[in-house]
Amino acid sequence: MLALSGTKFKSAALSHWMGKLDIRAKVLTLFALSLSLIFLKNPIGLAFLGGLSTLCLLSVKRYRLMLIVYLVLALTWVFSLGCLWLMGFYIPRMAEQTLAQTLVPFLRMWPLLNMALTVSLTMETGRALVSLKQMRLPRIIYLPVMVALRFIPGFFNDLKQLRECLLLRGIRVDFKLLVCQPMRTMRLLVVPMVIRALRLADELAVAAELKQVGYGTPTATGANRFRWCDSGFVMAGLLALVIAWNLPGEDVETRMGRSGGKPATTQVEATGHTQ
Amino acid sequence: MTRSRNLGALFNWGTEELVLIGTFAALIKIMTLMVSLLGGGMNPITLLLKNILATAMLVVLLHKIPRVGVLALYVLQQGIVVMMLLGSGMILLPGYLIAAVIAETFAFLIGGYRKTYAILLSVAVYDFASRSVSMGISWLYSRENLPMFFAALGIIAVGYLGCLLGLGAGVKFVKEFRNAGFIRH
Repeated sequence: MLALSGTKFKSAALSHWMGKLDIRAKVLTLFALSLSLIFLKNPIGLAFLGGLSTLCLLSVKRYRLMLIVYLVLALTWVFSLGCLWLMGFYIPRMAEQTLAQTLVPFLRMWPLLNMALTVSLTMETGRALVSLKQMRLPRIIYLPVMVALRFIPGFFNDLKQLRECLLLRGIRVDFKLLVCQPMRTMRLLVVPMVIRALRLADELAVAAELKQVGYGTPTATGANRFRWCDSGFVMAGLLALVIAWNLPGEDVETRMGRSGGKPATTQVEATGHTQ
Repeated sequence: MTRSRNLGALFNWGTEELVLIGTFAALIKIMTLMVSLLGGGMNPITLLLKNILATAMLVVLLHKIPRVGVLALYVLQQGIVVMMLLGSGMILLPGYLIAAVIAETFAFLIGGYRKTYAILLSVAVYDFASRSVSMGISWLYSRENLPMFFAALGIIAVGYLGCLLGLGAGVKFVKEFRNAGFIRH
């Protein structure tokens, strides 16, 4: 039951300032960021947001994970450059893409990845559930989300047990088995897990009915209110977005065949001059 | 009067159904994560298996709770869970919900979830519509770098192939669970 309660993550998640913030504040900031990144095309603004979000991620102190994620991002960029070079042989317009044009999507991903990692690494199940409860969501949304969030650590333990059971039968579930016998591996993993989930759902539904879970009005506790530091974090995030939008710099053109750094007005002037 | 009663029934869910949807949302997330970890990341085989698994389990869920709104509710639950655990998918969630509503409407038009072919077709429609949404969002984020968009397109296409194969796997699983007595109709 300790595994299901999510308390074992508490000390690790709350040891830094990002962990102490309300999940709603972090999710709201992340939502505003991801919406704004769709439209932002200025590399300087994107780099500014990337730098700020890196500070948030650095506070989590998971340096090794950060290094791996950044390495994967850099490798993907190199891979996309290789694809671009190859496609340039068949579609000449592809070869006209500038370095800025290839870099902008990665600059867009950089702050998004940083913030997503920060949210996921500082998530604490118990506090997230209380926050959800206080949002006064309808029962049809709140109850399944609560069940899902509460049982994720439990299912990880079940998977470990299943793996050990299969080892006792002489079956080692690894990459080799997955590639050589994919359907057998899936069957070995899926069928027991689904049966376990169905039984668990039955038991849990009876318990929830008896305890009237999801019917009562949530009680607000002082510890879970939206505090000034949560509001401050959201405001700081929005301020950073406003600054990023107003930083000097030129938007990178979306269409191929245009120079990456030139603004539209300069191009119109240049065309007019030629005529 | 009858119409308002029908609409009321759409929002009137039993605890058992809601708990089952939540359990499946968690289970599908964990199983796909497990396959991704076992497969060593984003290679085509892992991608294919991950999607086969997710679709097969969705087919099982729809057989277990065959009523209008279950797909939309499942998508919403999974969106919120992913948003809270992984901090991603916020932009995709509205599009996925629309895809789920389209699939639900399609299932309703061809006879409802009581028929297996309606379940399979609605899941196929949902997967297609949700992947179209993913492609649209992928284009929005990588519109300056088209080769990257084409790479994402390839990944999505392999994923959809996995979904189509998952429909068959789902039917097989349903047969097993029906024999075991876990699915009653």
